[in-house]
Amino acid sequence: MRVCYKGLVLGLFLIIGFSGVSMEVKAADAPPPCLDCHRTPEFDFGVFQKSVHGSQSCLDCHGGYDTPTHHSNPPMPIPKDQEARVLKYQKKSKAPLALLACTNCHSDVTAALATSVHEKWIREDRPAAGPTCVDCHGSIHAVVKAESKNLGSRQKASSCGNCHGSAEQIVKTSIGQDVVPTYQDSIHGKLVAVGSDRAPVCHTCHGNHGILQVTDANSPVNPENKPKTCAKCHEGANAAFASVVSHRPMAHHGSHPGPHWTHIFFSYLTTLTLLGLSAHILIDLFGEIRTQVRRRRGAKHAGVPAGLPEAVERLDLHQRIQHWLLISSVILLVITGWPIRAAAIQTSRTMIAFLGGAHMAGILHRIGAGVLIVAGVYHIIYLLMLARKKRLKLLMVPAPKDIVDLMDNLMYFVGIRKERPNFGRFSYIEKFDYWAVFWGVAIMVGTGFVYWFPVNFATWLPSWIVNAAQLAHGEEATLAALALFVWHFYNVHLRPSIFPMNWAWLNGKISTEALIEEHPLEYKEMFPNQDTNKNNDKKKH
Amino acid sequence: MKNNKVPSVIGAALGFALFLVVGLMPTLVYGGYAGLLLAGGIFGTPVPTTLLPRALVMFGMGLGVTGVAFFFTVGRAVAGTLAGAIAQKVSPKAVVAQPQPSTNR
Ligand code: HEC
Ligand code: HEC
Ligand code: HEC
Ligand code: HEC
Ligand code: HEC
Repeated sequence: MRVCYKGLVLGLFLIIGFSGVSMEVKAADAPPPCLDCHRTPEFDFGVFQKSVHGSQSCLDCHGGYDTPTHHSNPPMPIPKDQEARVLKYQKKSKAPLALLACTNCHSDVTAALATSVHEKWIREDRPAAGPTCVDCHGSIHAVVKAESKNLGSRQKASSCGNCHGSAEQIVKTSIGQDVVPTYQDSIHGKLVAVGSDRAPVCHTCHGNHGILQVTDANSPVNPENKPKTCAKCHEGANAAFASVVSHRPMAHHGSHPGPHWTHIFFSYLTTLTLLGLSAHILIDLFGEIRTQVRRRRGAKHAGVPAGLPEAVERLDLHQRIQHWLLISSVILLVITGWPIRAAAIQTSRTMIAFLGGAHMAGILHRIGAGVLIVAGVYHIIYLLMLARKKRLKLLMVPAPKDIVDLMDNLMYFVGIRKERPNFGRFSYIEKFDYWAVFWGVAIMVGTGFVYWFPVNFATWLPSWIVNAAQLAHGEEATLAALALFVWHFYNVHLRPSIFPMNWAWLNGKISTEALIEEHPLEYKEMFPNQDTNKNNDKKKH
Repeated sequence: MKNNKVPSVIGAALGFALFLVVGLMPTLVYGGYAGLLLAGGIFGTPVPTTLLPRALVMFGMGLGVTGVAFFFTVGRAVAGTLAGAIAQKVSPKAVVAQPQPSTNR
């Protein structure tokens, strides 16, 4: 196959011939004689042979020489109209004239480039040089035909950052300081970073060779044309939607303060809540260790009075199913969502690849969202059914006693109080967990839908909502994930007295002993006739 | 079955060991990143390198590591516990159900 191709090229070469080339200096199988003298570390013949230009001769680009004794000839004259260009090229390249040769074969490219802002910065006297072919395509002796067009263009995108992300280059130009970081922080940049082949890279929005200034009426990202550019991928994109993404921090949306304050609100909410929960865990752990030590020294468990069942029901089947739905959906959402939020971290790419790629992760994330919504709806219906049967007791509603309990509990842990506060069916910890989930699900589902259908939301609501929702979704995800994995897991699994778990999530039961210790008021209500004096009538265990 | 904590502890230890191998380094980075994002919201971007933002980044690292370590540990502990419970339930029954030496069918 390869041989055939080469034979074809050779045949064509022989048929057409090459005027002005007195010797055949073809980069076919043997290295061309030029290399006898021009052997540089940058030029690797093997690599060149495999490049798209592997079948071109040196002289196709390095024209005007009479090899191998070209030094006897004067070098090729510089065309008058190209002088400024060659001068610029000279600063970047040892062979500035060779760059002119690209036109011979890629005239459409050079024509497009000629209209671009980049070319202006090459032709005209400007503080910085615009890009040559090499700046974007890399070493010209090593250009390969990308196996997948998408992949290749993705790699090219990183070359834009060499200038637009370089502090040194930026100061010399009039353009925004942070186009690259803002792109990387955008949903598109993050998806590309974890390997998406659907999200746009620089040239998907800006074009490749004919890149224009944003203010130019023909620029694809000019406010007039921007909706059309977004609509290539986002069906129905209009101006309101198009205003959502551009090169500014997500918290800045035009002059509207909404996203900014959303950002601040959720940052404080997350930080302060996590600080509070961490402090509670540490104090709790301290108290647990004290209790264990005292138990070792002979202090006794509260016993279960004779004649009572060993365990009582704590969660009915409906509640357990809701909880299982919640667990599976939240874990799925966290592992498919967080790697994209933190796309800059190398592990994220591995994780997303493991999950089947960025697109698959997006699908799984939506499945997780669906399950979460089912859990929420199930719970609401469950509550309504209870209410209809007049069995809804509203025991979850926070009450002033909870604040007193919190203080007393902490004081008990550090040893200031001798007795734990008497909790009812739901302690303040369980109430907090319940309402935190309520709030979390409401925020995550609400903002998640904005993420899912951004075009519609940007149209129905003021478009800054989309930015605010993206910020809230991310910060609330941090809060939810850490609160669950640190706080909830500590309370129901890893507290020394509970390890390996509170079994209620599996069998729905709580031991009567734990009921007496953890929920004494509920115990009294359940078994009003029992002597609650814990020291009486102990059952052996 | 509730009193036998051995399978749970073995599970937890395995989970924790697995975490140390594959999870520790990345979660330090993820946690720090979460802290950095929070610091960005509270102190503004670019995040100043003063004490409080640094403390917040460290806090994020601590929580990230703790959270994911808990996730690994609890996951394995629960698996270990369930395996232990099933083994306990199954083994006496197996003996009862097959009093004769079993033959391969
Ligand atoms: C003698 C003709 C010729 C000259 C001169 C030439 N090229 Fe090419 N170039 C080709 C051919 C043929 C291909 C392969 C096109 C294909 O396979 O579709 C190619 C492919 C490329 C590609 C890869 C396109 C892709 O599909 O990804 C790039 C980039 C490129 N050339 C850049 C340059 C640059 C830069 C110069 C000037 C330094 C140059 N070329 C000079 C003939 C030429
Ligand atoms: C500003 C960066 C930039 C510069 C400068 C640039 N290119 Fe490209 N070029 C690109 C990008 C990006 C693509 C890929 C487009 C895609 O994948 O859709 C591309 C694609 C190409 C292709 C493939 C065919 C095509 O038109 O898509 C050729 C050939 C090519 N470039 C040649 C050149 C030559 C020759 C020069 C110099 C005269 C040059 N390029 C300068 C960015 C650049
Ligand atoms: C989703 C489409 C999109 C992508 C992807 C994108 N941009 Fe932009 N870019 C825009 C829009 C829209 C503007 C117009 C200014 C604005 O709205 O902020 C712009 C403006 C610019 C500007 C001019 C900024 C100024 O301050 O004058 C530069 C430079 C730029 N982009 C470079 C890049 C680079 C480099 C990348 C890749 C790292 C990139 N863009 C990726 C849409 C995009
Ligand atoms: C060699 C450095 C270099 C590379 C590589 C480069 N650019 Fe540029 N770019 C410049 C310079 C210089 C300007 C002109 C700056 C100005 O107008 O102040 C510019 C201008 C622009 C503008 C117009 C900004 C405006 O004023 O509205 C856009 C858009 C842009 N580049 C996008 C890209 C994209 C996309 C890529 C990659 C495919 C890229 N650039 C690669 C140097 C570079
Ligand atoms: C090359 C295709 C492409 C272009 C062009 C493009 N996007 Fe996207 N965009 C995507 C993909 C892919 C996603 C991720 C979709 C997903 O997983 O939900 C996305 C996601 C988004 C999101 C987040 C919401 C979501 O659906 O996840 C917003 C907002 C967004 N794009 C805005 C824009 C705007 C505004 C423009 C125009 C300036 C634009 N996009 C141009 C492909 C594109």
